[in-house]
Amino acid sequence: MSKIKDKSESTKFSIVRHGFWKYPILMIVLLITVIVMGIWVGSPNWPRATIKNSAQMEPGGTIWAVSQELDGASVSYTDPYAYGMKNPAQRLVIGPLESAKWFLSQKQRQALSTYINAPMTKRIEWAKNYDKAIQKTFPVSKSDYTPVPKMSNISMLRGNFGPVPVIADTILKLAQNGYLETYFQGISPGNTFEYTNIWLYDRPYMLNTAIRNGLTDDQWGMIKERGFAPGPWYLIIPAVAHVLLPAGSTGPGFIFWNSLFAIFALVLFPLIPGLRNIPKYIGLYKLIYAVDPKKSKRSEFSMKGDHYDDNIRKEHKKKKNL
Amino acid sequence: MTDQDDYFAHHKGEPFRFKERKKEVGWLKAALESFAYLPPFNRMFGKVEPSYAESYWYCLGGLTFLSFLFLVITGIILTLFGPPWWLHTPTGVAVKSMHYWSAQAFFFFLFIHVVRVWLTGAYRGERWVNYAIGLTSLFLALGENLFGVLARGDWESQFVAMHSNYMLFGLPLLRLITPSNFTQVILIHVAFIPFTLLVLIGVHVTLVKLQGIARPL
Ligand code: HEM
Repeated sequence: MSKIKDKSESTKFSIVRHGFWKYPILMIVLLITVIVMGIWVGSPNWPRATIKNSAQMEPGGTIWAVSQELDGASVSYTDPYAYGMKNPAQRLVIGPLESAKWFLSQKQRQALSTYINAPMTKRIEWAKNYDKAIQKTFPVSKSDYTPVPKMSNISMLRGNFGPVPVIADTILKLAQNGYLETYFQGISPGNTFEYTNIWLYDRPYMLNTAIRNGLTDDQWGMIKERGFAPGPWYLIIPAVAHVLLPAGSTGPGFIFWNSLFAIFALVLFPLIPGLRNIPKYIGLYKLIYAVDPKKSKRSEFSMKGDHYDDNIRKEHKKKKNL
Repeated sequence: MTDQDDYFAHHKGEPFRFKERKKEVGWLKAALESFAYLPPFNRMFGKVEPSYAESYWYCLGGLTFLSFLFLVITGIILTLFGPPWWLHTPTGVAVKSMHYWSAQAFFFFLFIHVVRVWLTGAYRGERWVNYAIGLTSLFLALGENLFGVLARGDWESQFVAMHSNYMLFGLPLLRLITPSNFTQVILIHVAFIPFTLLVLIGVHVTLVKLQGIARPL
């Protein structure tokens, strides 16, 4: 560009001191807003789910889950790196019972030793029978909610269950009186919530609560807080990938779509000639500029005391003197 | 010198001449902006801007930065007092909520900041590097948010821990992170990510200062 063209009226843009006086005012306004919202509106805070509470609210769900933790159908059997673990039957059922042996009743101890002394196939057969029998106590459900069997129905069941019903009932009692949660915290001191969370996730109560509050994937749960607006609305980009795009709800798919978006935003959009000029064609920048840089005359916006003005004044002086 | 050269020559720190400024904008504004020229800020703020940047659209990065400071301050208080305090005492809940609303403000200003950067094409030329640094901070901040939810210690933390463990933290490498492990999660949320963010944002703002506001489209 030649100097002459730069000097032309159309490419001139004037210079002002940035209005930093705005910042202290904005800061105080923002500070007050945050304090007022914090005190007045608060923030989402929902008491933790506990094993005790879950077992008291839905004893039937607890019993049913024990049968599945024994027959291999529970969620905790998934990949240990997902929400599962190694050997849920031992960790979540047999281990706790053995640790509590000294205060169990004769009948409960008997059930435990019968179970432990039986061959593996037998143990699984009993648990499977019990699991199937429990599932017959409620109709097949078409809703998203996992059905919760009623205790009165469960206690009526008869069949080739071996010691499994007594074992499940013992776990229920240990859960309801708070022993189980303390036990789980004790065996995993490095991550006290590990087994508690896995145990809770094996039961319908937690997931049903999530469904009730619209927190599952198909309900755009990622950008919601439990009953608290606005929630993390800004997670909309990963949420689109997670909910709408093919395989977005799997780990690799989620990472793929988000990386694709990142590459687009980071590299393609700002660097590719056609793309990077889009803002120029749209022309919305006109709404953003305080003054039209192409039209403004420097003298209107520049201020006394700036170098810039000093230069202009010098120039004027020179011209006058000539 | 051309106009534009002149403009870029202004990116040196400017001394603050209070008396002159008082004449120009009045005593109150001059006093309010004097902070920008104090020694710790001088190199950051003490400069002039092109007149087209005199709109609130150009304050959004600064407001994002302010919200980030609020997040850091409330975050330090929360860390010092611990989960039982922020979950169960009125003062703790209030500070936790201020942390929450600072995050809302942070992302609100951040998103409009990005819109203004896009609409004014401010990512072009040498500013692309700074644009990339900004976007990286945005992605990191979203991750920081996830660990914030996990560190909260309430029902949501439990549910999100289980759910994200299934989807994300079962993948190779990522499985080093166990979202139900409070010690790990709090370390990531209050140390690893915030320090990285602090550095990135520091570099971002310094580069804005060095390169100046992008020329008009
Ligand atoms: C993480 C928090 C961020 C902070 C604290 C921040 C702060 C700032 C500040 C204070 C400015 C000065 C001008 C203004 O306020 O408009 C600025 C400019 C800029 N920001 Fe950010 N920013 C952040 C994130 C981002 C992101 C996510 C992007 C990219 C999408 C970005 C891209 C830019 C660019 C390209 C400029 C230069 C604008 C120009 O020269 O006109 N920033 N930023």
